[in-house]
Amino acid sequence: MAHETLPVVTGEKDRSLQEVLTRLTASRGPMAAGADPIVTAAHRLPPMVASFAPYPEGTDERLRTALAARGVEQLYTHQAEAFGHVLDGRNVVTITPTASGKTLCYNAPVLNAILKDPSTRALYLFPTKALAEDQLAELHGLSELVTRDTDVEIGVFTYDGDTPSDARRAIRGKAHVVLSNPDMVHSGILPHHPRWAKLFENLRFVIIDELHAYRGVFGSHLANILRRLQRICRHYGSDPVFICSSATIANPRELAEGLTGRPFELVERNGAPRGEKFFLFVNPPVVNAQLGIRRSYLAEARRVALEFLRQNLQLILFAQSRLAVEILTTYLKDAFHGPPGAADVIRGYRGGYLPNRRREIERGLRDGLVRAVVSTNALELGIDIGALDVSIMAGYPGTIAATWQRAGRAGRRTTRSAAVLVASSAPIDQFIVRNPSYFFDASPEHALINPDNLHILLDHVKCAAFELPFTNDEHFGVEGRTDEVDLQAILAVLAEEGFVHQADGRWNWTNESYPADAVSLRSVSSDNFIVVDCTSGERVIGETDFTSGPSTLHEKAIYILEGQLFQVERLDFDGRKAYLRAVDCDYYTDAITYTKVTILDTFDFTASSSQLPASSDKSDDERGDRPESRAPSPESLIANPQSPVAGAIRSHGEVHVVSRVVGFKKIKFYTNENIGSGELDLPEQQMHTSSYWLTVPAAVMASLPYAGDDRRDGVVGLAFAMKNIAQLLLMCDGHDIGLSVDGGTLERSKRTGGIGGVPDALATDPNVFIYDNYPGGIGFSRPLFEMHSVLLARTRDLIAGCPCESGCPSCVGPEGNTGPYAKQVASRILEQLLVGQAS
Amino acid sequence: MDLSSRLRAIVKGGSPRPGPAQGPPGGLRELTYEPDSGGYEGTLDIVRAAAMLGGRVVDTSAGPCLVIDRRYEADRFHGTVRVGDCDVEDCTALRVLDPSLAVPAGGSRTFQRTVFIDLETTGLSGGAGTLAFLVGCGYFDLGAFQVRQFLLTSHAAERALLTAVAEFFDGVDLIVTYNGKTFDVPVMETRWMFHRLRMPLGEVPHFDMLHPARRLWKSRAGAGGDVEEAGCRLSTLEQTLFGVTRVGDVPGFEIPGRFFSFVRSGDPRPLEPVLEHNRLDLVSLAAVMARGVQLARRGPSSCRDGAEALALGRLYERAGDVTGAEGCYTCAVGAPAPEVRGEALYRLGLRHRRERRFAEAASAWREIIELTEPRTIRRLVRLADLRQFAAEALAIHHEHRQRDLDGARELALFALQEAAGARADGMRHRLARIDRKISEKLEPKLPGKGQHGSRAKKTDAQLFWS
Repeated sequence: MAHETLPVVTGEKDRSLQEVLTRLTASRGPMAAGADPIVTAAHRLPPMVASFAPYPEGTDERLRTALAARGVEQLYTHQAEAFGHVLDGRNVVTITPTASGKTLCYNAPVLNAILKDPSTRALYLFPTKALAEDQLAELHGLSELVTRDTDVEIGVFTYDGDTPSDARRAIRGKAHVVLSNPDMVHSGILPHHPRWAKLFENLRFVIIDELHAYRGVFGSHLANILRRLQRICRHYGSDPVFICSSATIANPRELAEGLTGRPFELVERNGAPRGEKFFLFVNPPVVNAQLGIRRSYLAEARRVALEFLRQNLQLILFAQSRLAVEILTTYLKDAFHGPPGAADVIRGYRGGYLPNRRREIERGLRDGLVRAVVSTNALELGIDIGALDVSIMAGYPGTIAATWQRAGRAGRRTTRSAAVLVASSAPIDQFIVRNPSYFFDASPEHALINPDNLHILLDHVKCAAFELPFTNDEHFGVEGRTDEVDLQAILAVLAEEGFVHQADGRWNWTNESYPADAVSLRSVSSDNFIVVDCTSGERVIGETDFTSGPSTLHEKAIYILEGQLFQVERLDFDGRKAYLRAVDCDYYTDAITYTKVTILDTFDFTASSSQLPASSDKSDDERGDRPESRAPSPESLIANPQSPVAGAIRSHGEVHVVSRVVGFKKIKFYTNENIGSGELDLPEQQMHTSSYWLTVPAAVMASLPYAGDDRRDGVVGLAFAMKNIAQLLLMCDGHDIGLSVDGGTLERSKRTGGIGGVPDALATDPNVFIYDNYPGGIGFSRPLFEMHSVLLARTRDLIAGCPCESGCPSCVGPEGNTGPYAKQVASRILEQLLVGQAS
Repeated sequence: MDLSSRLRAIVKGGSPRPGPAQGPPGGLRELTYEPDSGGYEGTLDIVRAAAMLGGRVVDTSAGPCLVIDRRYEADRFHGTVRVGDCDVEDCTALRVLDPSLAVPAGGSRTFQRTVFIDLETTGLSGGAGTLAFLVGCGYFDLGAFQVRQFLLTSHAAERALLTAVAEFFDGVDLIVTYNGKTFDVPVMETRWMFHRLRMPLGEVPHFDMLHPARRLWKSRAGAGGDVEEAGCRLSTLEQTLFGVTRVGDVPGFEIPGRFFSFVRSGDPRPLEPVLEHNRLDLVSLAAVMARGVQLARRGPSSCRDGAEALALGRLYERAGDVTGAEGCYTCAVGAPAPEVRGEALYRLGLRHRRERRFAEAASAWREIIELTEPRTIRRLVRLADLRQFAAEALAIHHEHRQRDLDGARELALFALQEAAGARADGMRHRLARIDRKISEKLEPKLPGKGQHGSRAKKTDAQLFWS
């Protein structure tokens, strides 16, 4: 491989960018029928000019002067609109693309209120500590400017896990504005509210930035934290206004209202200017038509990145997993060796790096010393890394919103920029690049939360009871909402277990624990594994959350950190430590996970008759009113929601999921050959959650003219394709939902057969489970149940439209994994299931 | 499954998260509540509870509060120590133990009203849900130790308890606790803040005996276990210092559960051992403080052994009493344990050097080098460190003061044997320079080289004074 050094920066970036784009799109090739284009879409987003509005009535003169000194003579329309709503005491959520001046939407009204009444307090919530740190500098500068010629002093402080304990007392007294994160509010502020009395008595604003980050589990937790927060505010007699800002999602107002339980105004017309941007979709070429194998998308992403790098353009390369980040970092570093002794110009960035290393990389990006960063979604949110020229995504980020967010990391207000999406062979990627209009024209995702998930709710009721005794007639959250769980019933159960005791009309906390400590807001467990390098002495080099520990830190696993390879020598599961040693090898490892699902309770089902149960009729009817049914969202394909699916049984309900890492594969770098495997014996992980499932009737199975094994392969292939379509329909991340086929799994069926399996699963009706990948569920199963027909129809389209002969990673899975007849059988099953639909 | 059964399943499952069942950290903090024990009829009756616990009910503006008084007469013994001998208010000695302690108002030499405080709480984490259900206060009255305990009889009665405690605290000018700066006082602050009341002890000087106790007795282990921590628990100190052995003492982790059980059943009997435990802690606290003050006042002659003298010396030094410190170190040098002698010599050598008594410093370094090795690994590391430091210091001494290059060379070689990393590099550098000087001495000095030598000297001087 040729090593190159990076050329000197010349500054003529617009021209260089144009050159690379021209070269890339030239490889578009002849658009003849049947050709498989490499660049499937080249979309130009025209520049937008700014639209301004005057300051709203009631703006403090000092604020106006300070902003003018910063060059802000007028506000953008969206800023003025948001400001106006807040001045009138209304909660507001603003949709803000990157670099649209969103911080002023909340900083202006907050500083304005503090100037008018210095007792005013505000709490800012950011999803990460790093973002709060980032905003601190900005707010500091502005508040100093505002108070320059006054005797007012505005205290602005971050308060998080890194705040030294001796500084905390001072902050509690002095801070007008506290910048924090949900975790700290949850475990450090609310449980200690008496110490924060001054804040809570005077709390007039709660700012929630990056609102779209609070979906699924994290959002469901935050909703409960905000219930607790508002409960404490009521105790101290305050009633804050909520100001939220969100990236583009389909339901910002619904999300804000769901999180806070309050009505919101929505500001969605953006008045900020934007530079011209080009968006390319790249589909790696097919290298083996028969097997449907495309060139590796990582290699393709590398090729595209090198094109830009050679032209001096600074770029961010997003990868889908930590592993992919490390592989791409290795690839790019292999290609570019900086001058000897110089700082690395290619850096990796992901969760698990220690904070110092991260800060150093961020600084390098802003200074221009780092020319390319390969990152997971860790850099998707608004951490200040300066204005980059190009954003490349290796693999579809999974959601439309995240894709736009990542694309937004390149380009600011006036400069020209580019975004490139390189599709992997995953079905969802292939669907997107082959149907660009789905992406460019469709509305983005809905952020779903389920604050009344019993597990989450129960945890927060404990925390709330610790903070302030509940009264005998209290509700938790908005009273009378749908799905409200009876708080008094929860407390009665907690009393049985000794957590609370009812006396004098109150439920008093009677437990010595500190309940907030037992709750982790972000992952399924607050536990994590420490990664220890013991090549020479012992050195902690990273950490990994509990759930992904077994699959990434099992013995003999290859762990990659910024391109350096380590092999796990020993995993101390109980001690939560993995001991690694640096190695030199040409492969990485991929864990094999075995999953088993048991049905606990069926909430709703449709039998294979033409009648739907009444309850589903009702829920289908309700869907008509919901915003997501607007065209051209795929749900509009539920033309007649009552059309039954003959022969199939759809269900949803509660399930028990057991998963275990049973082995691993060794995959060679670059060629991705499977060069070996091993078995592992690691503890199981279990959960109760909700699931949708499809039951293929035994009669359908029996009618297939294939052998038993091949039939089974067909179901596995069908499941593989269904999960991907489900992800698209639900607009969720791939890891939000899990997949299991009856007693077996995709991996198990071929590779590690016999491990605790059900040998003759197909003797009964096989089930395809698509479950919420979180204890208690996060609300995907019912929507999926309702979208059952379109799920099957889309799955059929995906499989039928795939050019491969007998299965590939883009439809039913690669032939080597799912067997020679999987594609045919899956199609036959779908045909039979969809017969009723056609009539 | 109905709602309650589902909730029950989740609550009973403990952690709702997947993964193997996890025991409580440390393995001892389990839920101690047991469903009603039986044998006690009826709910709480504060008068009856007061009678059963040997206390009385006092009325406050916020309602009734249960108070228990006990008196430890002056002639009574707590282990080997007489209660009456524990009464000290001398602020000079206290400031040796804690130089940051504020002096009493009006500049007097003694505190007028000292109160020892120890809380029993419903948890160790603090926060709004952690209650101080028992506020134990001790003070000396005509030589006797008087204990007053305020007991919470229900959650609703907390305001009354705080009111009663605040009245009691009126006029107090020193509070003494064990770990109170970290735990007891913040917990009390939170309780008053919770009720939106002013904390009564806000400005009162606070002497926390834990920190001086750690400095004095950290190295004295309760046999085995975690020496650093266990060795300084109040219950360990009362045993090692005064030979107190508690019989039937209630273990700390059981205490919250006993209170919860009282709140549920109204039966105060499980609290009796908790009250006793709290009283003993208060008496021990007074005795431990008195022991610290006695050492501070009388100096090394009152120390039991070299380790205590060494620790006392460091306290003196920290408080600015250099002479006192030197006396303690000199006393500790006579200790049989080499690690104590090594440390004492090291401190002594540093003092001498700072006072430019170089010959005495050099003899301290020499003595360190000649020490024999102690047994345990942990101390060995420290001693090896000291020995290497001493060799280096002595090498400097020989090179620059004695002008004994051969001696310096030998010492530098010795130090190099034990050094590693950057320190070894420094030693190699020194050795090279000494070798060059030796060769320069043999050959006539070339012009221009002197500059180099003086630069090296300067570096040494910096090192010397660091």
